[in-house]
Amino acid sequence: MRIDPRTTRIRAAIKAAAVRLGISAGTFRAVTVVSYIRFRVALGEFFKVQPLSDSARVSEGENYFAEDYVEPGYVAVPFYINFSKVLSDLAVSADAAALSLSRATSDTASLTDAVALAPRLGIIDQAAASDSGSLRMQDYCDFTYFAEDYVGESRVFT
Amino acid sequence: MDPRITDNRIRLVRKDTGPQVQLTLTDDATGAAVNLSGATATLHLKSLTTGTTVLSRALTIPPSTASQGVAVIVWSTGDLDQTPGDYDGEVEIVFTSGMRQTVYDVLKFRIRDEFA
Repeated sequence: MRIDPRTTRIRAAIKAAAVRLGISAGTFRAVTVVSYIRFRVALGEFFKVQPLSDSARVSEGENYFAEDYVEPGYVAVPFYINFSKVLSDLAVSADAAALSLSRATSDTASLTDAVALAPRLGIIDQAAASDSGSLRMQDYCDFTYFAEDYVGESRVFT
Repeated sequence: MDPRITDNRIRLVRKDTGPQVQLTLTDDATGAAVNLSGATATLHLKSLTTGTTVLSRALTIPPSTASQGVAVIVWSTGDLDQTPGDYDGEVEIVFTSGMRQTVYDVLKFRIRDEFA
């Protein structure tokens, strides 16, 4: 058996300590300090590294049967699982606040009337008829034959 | 002498995912295989240039050979995308009892840049 030099040094140290303590060095001859591990090295390809992969497939609308133990003499009850699609819907309501700026139209009717006195002359119409003229009458010749009243009747009236 | 003969570094190329490195762990005292059943092992890769640990990769321990102390470094994509240079690899084992033991010896790696 090959003795590691480190083991030899350790044994020597133990012996020295034992001598200092007054213990016989022969007491420790059978002591095993520790078992060292050594390795031999070999190069090569020892393993194929293959990634593990597995895929499970479950489709909706299909039946999947599971086997179960049935006591002899009993009738097995078929057990199966039917995968169906779970309908779900999540209602999402969203509203975006928008500020709409518009000018309010307003009109306030305002009627004012200023009281004004407008005195004016009252209209008075007084009918007055008057007549004046002259009256000529003749029956002898044409009326325009004489320059002035010559025969007949001529008078001025007002 | 060709340094490749005396240099026991594991030579890798940047961005590669191979070769895988199979380690067989044995008890130095008895020579028996270390039982890795249920244990976890991790490789810590430290850059000798920067002194920082650039990678921690869990080792693959095949159940069929776990009792024979076999653990394999299976590089993943990007593990070796490291700055070219020398690296030390430390293997840390956590047994089912919870005991954590690190292999004292270190693995030596050298990564060179790829051409393309």
